Amino acid sequence: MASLGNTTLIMTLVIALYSILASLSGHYYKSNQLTKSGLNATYLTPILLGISTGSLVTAFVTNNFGIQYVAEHSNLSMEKQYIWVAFYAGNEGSLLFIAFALAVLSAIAIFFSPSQNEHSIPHINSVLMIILIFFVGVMIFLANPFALSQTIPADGKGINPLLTHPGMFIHPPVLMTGLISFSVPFSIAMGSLLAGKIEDQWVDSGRLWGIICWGMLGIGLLLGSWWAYTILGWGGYWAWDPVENAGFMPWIVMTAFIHSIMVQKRRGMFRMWNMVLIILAFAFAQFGMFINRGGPVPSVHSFGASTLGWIFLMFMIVTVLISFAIFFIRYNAMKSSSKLESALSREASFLVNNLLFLTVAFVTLWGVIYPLISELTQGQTITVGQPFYNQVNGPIFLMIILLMGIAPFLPWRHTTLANILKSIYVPILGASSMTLLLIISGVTKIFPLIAFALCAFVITGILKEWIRGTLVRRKRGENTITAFTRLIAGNKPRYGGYVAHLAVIFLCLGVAGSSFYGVQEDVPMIPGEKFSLEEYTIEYVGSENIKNPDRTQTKAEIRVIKNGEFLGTYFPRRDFYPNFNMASTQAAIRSTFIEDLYIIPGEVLEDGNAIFRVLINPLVIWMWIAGPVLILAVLITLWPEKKRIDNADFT
Amino acid sequence: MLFYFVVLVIVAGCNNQQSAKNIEDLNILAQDIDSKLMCPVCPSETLDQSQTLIAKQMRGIIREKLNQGENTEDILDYFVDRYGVQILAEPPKSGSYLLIWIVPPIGLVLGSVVLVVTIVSMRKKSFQDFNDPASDNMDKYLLKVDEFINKSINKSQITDQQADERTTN
Repeated sequence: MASLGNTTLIMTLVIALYSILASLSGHYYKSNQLTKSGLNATYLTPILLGISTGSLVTAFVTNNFGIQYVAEHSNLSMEKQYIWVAFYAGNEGSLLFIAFALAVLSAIAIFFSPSQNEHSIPHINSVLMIILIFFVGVMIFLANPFALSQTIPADGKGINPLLTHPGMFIHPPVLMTGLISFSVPFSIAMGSLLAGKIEDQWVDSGRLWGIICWGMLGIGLLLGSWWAYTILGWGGYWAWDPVENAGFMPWIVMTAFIHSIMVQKRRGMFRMWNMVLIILAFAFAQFGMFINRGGPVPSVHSFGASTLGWIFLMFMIVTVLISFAIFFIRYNAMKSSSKLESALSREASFLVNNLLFLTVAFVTLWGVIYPLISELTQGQTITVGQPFYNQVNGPIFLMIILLMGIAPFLPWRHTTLANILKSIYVPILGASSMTLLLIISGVTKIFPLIAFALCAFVITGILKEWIRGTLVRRKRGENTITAFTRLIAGNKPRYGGYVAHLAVIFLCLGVAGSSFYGVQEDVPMIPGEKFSLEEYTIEYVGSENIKNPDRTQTKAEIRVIKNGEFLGTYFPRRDFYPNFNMASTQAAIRSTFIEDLYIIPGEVLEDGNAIFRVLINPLVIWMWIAGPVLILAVLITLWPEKKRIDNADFT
Repeated sequence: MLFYFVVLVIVAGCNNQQSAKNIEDLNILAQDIDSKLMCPVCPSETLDQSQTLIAKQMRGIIREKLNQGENTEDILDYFVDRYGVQILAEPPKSGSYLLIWIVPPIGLVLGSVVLVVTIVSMRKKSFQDFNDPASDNMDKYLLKVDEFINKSINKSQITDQQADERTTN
């Protein structure tokens, strides 16, 4: 199995090289056949890497501990479904996963490439294949997943217990695919730049792939939060850990890009700027992988400290330098085809949006690298943790949400202050009444007050648009549902955008609610004892120990009562893995749309006495609702046009 | 921009209002201190998140000291003395550490200046191009035609709102 996997890796390297040579020489010597053969080679790479992947999976299934990677990440007692997780649990396997994902995405991107990109396809293909060669090369020469064990152990080390959670089946692959997928819009932009077709031909496919990447990475991050919330056992969901930041920064830059690209699509402006943004987004994605591969910052997530990180950093630096070199060579061809007419316009609001998003990205980067700077320049080790990011990024996020409530109502080209006020007075009313309502109900903290008012501001704006549009269509005799769906289908980028904004507001609600109004208490309890926190009373019935071959499971039984009404029995768990000297907890969570009751067993002693951490986290469920809403937004935005029936209306 | 600073000031202000009155306040205060200190042995986890033995002991020390009447400052100083400044979840807002705090707002201000300059120059640009013979690849006549076409295209572009309203007719 090892030799098959290895052979296909080497074949991929050769085929990818061939693909570059053939497609480019086909392009320059005007041989369609050669180009085609080069592209066919690209279609071959997912098949070859698929065989590599298959070999590694087979090695896991057959417990082939002769392969070092299998010995290190699984053992005989591991349940078979975790092979999927063990596959990417370590450095080498995750590289293979990423390379496979990249090959699949490349093949899809090339195959479905629209006709207006025809001229630049060989270049786009070459950029993609260069990235693939990097990953496959790293595997062959530095981190081979098929490396053989020196002595074949009787049993493997086993899988990291923190990874044995349903979230782990999907969070890491989605996140890794999300990060590597940034290669596709980057290659489309770079390829077009190389081919000299830089006006607006690349915009449609660049935007499409940008939104796909954005959606995938966003969902990946959200799943990570959900995993942290349910299993890390501290009631939190986001710690501004370097690796979280590493996934967050490219996502933020991509958010800037998918907004700003609309200006180029509609008005032929910001051509250079969009190019810069996509280069930045890709560079941040590479930086993310660098941090992940044992970069210089400590993190709960990294794949062990390895020197591989530095190779990723070199790759990132080289990519950025070359990209900007090409950028300046083609500089003159990227001038705007129209001018900015007014600072009060949709175009200008997108620039403000970009400024804010980039500030968030660079502030986060600053927080990640500052400890290094401090250590190198002053020899002083310091920590830049959660409070820094909350204080510095928090206000910028609020500004972004404010902008989110205004910018969608600005028309293209120019408008007046009076017109802006006219279109946002309903949202302002919404925000004021929300503020009033909150003050009456006793909310006095200024920060959450601003946050909730802004949420109301955005939501009222979106609802107003939907209702107004639907009513207009209803007057034509359509029923409400048809009117609403046709309204959304009529301008998918716009209404998909609204849905995405709604998802962001849900996130904001969850974050604001839980960070400002969360309460927690650590309570020591003996079986039969009761404890009250706000309206909840929890009764600790008792606990039992279950011994499994790989872990000791302590399951506590807890009855929850709210205002005298029995709500149910819950079983929070704590699993101890002696092989790893590690514990993982499974919280008991009772979610409602208002708040989560969250109970984790901290420690259970022999006599049944236990310490529980009890939290009430308001509005957290809205963060998880944001996930499907985000997916819906991406689907609406990218849903292919059937026929532009609505065009008839404009004529 | 102003808004940003107002909010920063408010946040900074909130952090200083710490006077413990009863046990419940003391508990909240203790949790607040927990979240300001890192667990020394686990990467990027604060005391309130960590479940290691040392984190538990440190939480105990914090509560003990609070009961003895020490305030947040004293307790944080105590841990900084023992573990160094990296035990703090955020760098102090003083001395050479100030750099990390002032770079983000300065960055935002500089970014805004660049933004304003960009918007102003983008508004002027097309006119300049028109008068600058060195920059044009086409002759002036073609530029004029180009501008005319642009204008007529833009005229035919209507806002979404207008579009929706027109559909009723």
